[in-house]
Amino acid sequence: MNNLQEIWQSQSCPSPVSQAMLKLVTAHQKNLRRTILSRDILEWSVSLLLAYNCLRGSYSHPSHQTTFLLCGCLSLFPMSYLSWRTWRIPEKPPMGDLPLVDSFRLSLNWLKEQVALLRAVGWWYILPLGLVAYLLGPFYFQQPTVLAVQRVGCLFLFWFVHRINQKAALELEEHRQQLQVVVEEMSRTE
Amino acid sequence: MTQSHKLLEEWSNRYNGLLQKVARAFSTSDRADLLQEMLLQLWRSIPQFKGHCKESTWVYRVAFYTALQWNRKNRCHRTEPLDEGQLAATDSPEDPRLEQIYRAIRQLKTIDRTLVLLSLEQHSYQEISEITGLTVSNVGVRLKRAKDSLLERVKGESRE
Repeated sequence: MNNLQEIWQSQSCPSPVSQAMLKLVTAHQKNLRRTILSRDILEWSVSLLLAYNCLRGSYSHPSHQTTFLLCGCLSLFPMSYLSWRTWRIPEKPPMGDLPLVDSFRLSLNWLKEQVALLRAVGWWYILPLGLVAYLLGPFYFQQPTVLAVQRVGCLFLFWFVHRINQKAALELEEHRQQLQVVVEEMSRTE
Repeated sequence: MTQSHKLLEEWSNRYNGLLQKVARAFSTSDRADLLQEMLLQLWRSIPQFKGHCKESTWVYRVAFYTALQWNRKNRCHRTEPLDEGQLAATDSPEDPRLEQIYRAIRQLKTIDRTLVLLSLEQHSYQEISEITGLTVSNVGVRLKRAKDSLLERVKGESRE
């Protein structure tokens, strides 16, 4: 082992990390933050706009006020629920002040949360928005053919949303399992 | 230039050797990408750095945290691929036995790789325990086994 140690210590120092790489890293992180922020703003705006339209609808259709108000609440539900879950278990950057095993445990918790969220997308995202589309459809599309097209379109869209979320959940699950193995391995006392 | 950027630059210069060794021990074809990912995670971690632990311990933890989770397929912070040539450049030619050691390290279990690397970097059991969160006695037992396994593999590599 001493021989290995000698060879190891004799390693010449590699060339320093280039400025270009550092710039790339910092720029990428800024872009990522910007993308996440703009996505959240967009999704909240759509939800609020939908809720506002429902509120307006409740005034213009007094006999269906309950339906419109219910749809307003339903359209706000997915983003509110998502924000609550994200606030409860936020994604944390690597915590250098925690030992590796504790950082992995935190990371594992976050991954479990993400997998659960993606798997349950049917009830917290698709169901409320599907109900909004189903209940409000007849008010906006009077012709049966157009209404049918709207419903088929919505079905297709929600099927697509469900599919991409399940695909993402599968990928994350694979990563979660690998991390679980690492945590179990590290937690085992010998 | 922001404070964070300055610190990242400082760390990347000071711990360049360490980061490159970890990247090489945990990856072959996408070493540059792993190095980039480690820098990215270091950059992300900087706002949390309050000096409660040693700077080197922080960098070690973040580097190993990233390397142990490294999975090309599942990367969520995919960045632009880099030229591997950027990393290999050194002033003097490399001892061929060094590549054998790296190959042998890469064959170890991920935890063992971490322990062996820290040991080769001449860290004490106590320091390794602080970085990883394993107990000192656990580090001792595991490291002994990991070193035996490494030596066997290096011998196997030499025979080939």
